[in-house]
Amino acid sequence: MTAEAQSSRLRQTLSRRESDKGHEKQSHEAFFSPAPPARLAVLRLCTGIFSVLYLVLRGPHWLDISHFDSTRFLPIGVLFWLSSPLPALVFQALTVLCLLTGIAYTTGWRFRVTGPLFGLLLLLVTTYRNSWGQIFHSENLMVLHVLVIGFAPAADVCSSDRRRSSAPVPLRAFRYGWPVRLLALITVLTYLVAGLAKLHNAGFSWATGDVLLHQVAFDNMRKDAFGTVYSPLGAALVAHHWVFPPMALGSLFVELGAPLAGFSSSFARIWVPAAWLFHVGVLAFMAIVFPYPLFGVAFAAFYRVERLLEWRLLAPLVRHWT
Amino acid sequence: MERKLAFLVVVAISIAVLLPAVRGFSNDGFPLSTYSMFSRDRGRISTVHTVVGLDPDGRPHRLSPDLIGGSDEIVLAAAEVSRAVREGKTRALCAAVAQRVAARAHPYPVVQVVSETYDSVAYFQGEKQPRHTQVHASCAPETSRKTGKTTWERRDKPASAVAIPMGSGAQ
Repeated sequence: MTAEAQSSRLRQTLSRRESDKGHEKQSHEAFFSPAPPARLAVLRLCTGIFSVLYLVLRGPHWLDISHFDSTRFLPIGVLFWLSSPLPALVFQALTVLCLLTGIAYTTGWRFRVTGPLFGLLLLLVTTYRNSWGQIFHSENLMVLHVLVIGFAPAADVCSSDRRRSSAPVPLRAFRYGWPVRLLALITVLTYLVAGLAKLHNAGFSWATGDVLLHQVAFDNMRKDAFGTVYSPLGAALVAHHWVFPPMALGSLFVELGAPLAGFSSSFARIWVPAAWLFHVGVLAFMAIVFPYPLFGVAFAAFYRVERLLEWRLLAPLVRHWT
Repeated sequence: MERKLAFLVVVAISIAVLLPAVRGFSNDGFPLSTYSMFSRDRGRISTVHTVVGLDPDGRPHRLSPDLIGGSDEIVLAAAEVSRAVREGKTRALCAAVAQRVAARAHPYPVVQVVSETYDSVAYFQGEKQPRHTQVHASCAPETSRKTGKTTWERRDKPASAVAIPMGSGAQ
């Protein structure tokens, strides 16, 4: 069979767009229904490419913490037991190792080892970088997703491992389905926790918009006080109080309504764009970037992402991995 | 068997993600978080703890997060100054910032750790002067031209409450 024919077969059999539609409608309610292996593989590619680029772009800045005074070290999470910071060289080596295993995770090279290893190393280096008195909430979901995918059979197709294996791969299987739905479930639960935190700390008065107004004003003012870039749009809007109640209600809708998206694909079609717009709003009004949801990676598990393999642009990649 | 194991994994991970909420949002963690970053009402009147550089005329100028906290992350710099103010370690912070200011040859003979109180809503309507400024520590970075070594002198002051007009731009 020629490479072109193999590539065509892979796209047809793994994506099965038309035949899948009916099947999905019948079994979507079932959390543990089978799914094609390409869906999990494409999620591996999406999270892998994102995480590796994130490490490349942010890693050098993380290394600044190697020079911090040890009194600033406040270990959290899996590093709670550390009594003092790691030697700078150890953290730098772990970051480089994390990057290398991230490349292996993305390409699906010896994934049974590199998948879990990347998940654990990413957890380690991000926990360490968050152990200096400030937690960056933009990294939590990325780490949780990579951990789930790293321990799942996400490199059975479209991977370096696949090129070296002749073992048959089922068109759909139980083991490819539930990890994808778990990723979506984790996503909605994190939004739910954020919504519950607002109710817990401010009550339903959060919906009046005053809390949001004060948050936007304070965050931009603090950025100005530290001489960094603030959002001119957010700064301009604090004079228009009427803007904030609808935005506050929209935020609560996204956060408290998130669990519905985990159980209803119809609601998910509304919720995912709403959640994405929520992060666009945070960027526009507070100049705070949540890159994982903004680039859509956080929401990829809600879609039949295996369809991406039908793109002509990805044809050489699909041929290479067939 | 495989299905039961998957069910247990899904339940365990779901409980773990929800656990910070169940525990009353008391302690934030990573990667399991309370996500309570925008949840509390700060009110209009807010205090910003920061470090400023005074020029030879005594006018204060903003310092960058890198000079203040040793990193380009503004939240790390803000957390570091807040911690120093909370724990009464502003002298040590002042000395560290002064060292960085001197090492980069910034023209500030004095740096100060300050707490500035603003009306955050009025701030963007033109009220850019702090309503109240508390100076926690002052120190003077000095660079020896002969030796190339950087020294700094602490000018410890009692906490004072003076409104200081701000110069513009981070250095």
